[in-house]
Amino acid sequence: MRLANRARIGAGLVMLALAPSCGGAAKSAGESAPQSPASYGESTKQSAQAPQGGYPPAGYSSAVPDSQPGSVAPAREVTLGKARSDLDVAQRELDVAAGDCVAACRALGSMDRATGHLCGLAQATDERTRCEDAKTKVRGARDKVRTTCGTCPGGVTVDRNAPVPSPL
Amino acid sequence: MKDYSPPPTLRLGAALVALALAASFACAKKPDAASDSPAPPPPVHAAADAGPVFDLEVMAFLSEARSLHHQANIREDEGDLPGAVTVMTRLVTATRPHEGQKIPEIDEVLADAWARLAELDLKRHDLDEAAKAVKAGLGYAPDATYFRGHLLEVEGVIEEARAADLSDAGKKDDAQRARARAIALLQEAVKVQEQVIGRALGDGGKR
Repeated sequence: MRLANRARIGAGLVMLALAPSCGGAAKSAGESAPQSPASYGESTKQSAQAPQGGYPPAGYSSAVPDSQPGSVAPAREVTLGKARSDLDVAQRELDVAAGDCVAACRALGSMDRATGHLCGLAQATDERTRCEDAKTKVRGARDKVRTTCGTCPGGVTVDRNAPVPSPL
Repeated sequence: MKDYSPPPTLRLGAALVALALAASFACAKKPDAASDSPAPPPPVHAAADAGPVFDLEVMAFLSEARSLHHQANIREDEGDLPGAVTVMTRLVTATRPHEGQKIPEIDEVLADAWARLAELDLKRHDLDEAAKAVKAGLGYAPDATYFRGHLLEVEGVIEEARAADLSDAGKKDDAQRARARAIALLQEAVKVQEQVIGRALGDGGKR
């Protein structure tokens, strides 16, 4: 699954973010974990000057005097802001990869089965139309799931040209 | 139709909650606290906006649900459908944590369990019991979720079986009505699941 790697990256970022968020204030900045590969160098450089590490509590920036000599707070805040943004993005990707594809595949399986039963019952013209409408929805859903998730486990096909219901 | 592991979202949810719990425990002790005694673990909320309580009681219930599903799997694999029904009945009649509070994860588990009970009853060709199970499950799944869609799917199949029985009994009109109900339910199931997929993949559900 293509999103699996992104999910792992996202999970890693979540873990990294959680770790310093708790006890970071008691440690030096040099001990804090990098928030993303892109910000690693910047973060490390700043850490040599920063007196405190870890994520500050909300409202931290307003508590730091601007006139403090040698203050690195603004740059640090930018880095932290970027890290939080990266974390948000990773978290969203993680949500999609790990949870939503499972949900989508499961729903697709149910949709596929329901359409199979519906079409098996259809006799009259309007019922045949309803059957065809349902098949169209299934094929559209297969496209969506394939585009985002790649494949589905458990024999649920994402091939739009496969029969409905899909042969198991 | 046999895919009876508990909802995978619960596994992910439980993992995340466990992570959050660990973080909460780690953060609970403030560095400047006068006492060294550990603070009692705070309840973890499912969402930052004061969502429902999701604590150890809930996690225990979810774990028990998973265990019961496994037991039912074993019974069903052995062909012991009544045994599987007994196991699943234990789940739907278990004392739920925080009775009276809305906890979506619990409702999902119960909706899923009722759907499975309905399928087991359907396999035993006890259509009336199966229909009752579906009705009970729908009470836990009022919104357009996979669980509601699945329950509608099962109800459609029940009505399909009923139509066949009625037809075999020579009750053509009743059979026709049951068939029409089945088609409507199955169509509704397709519609709900389409919404679920759209919402899950972010192209229409406006997450």
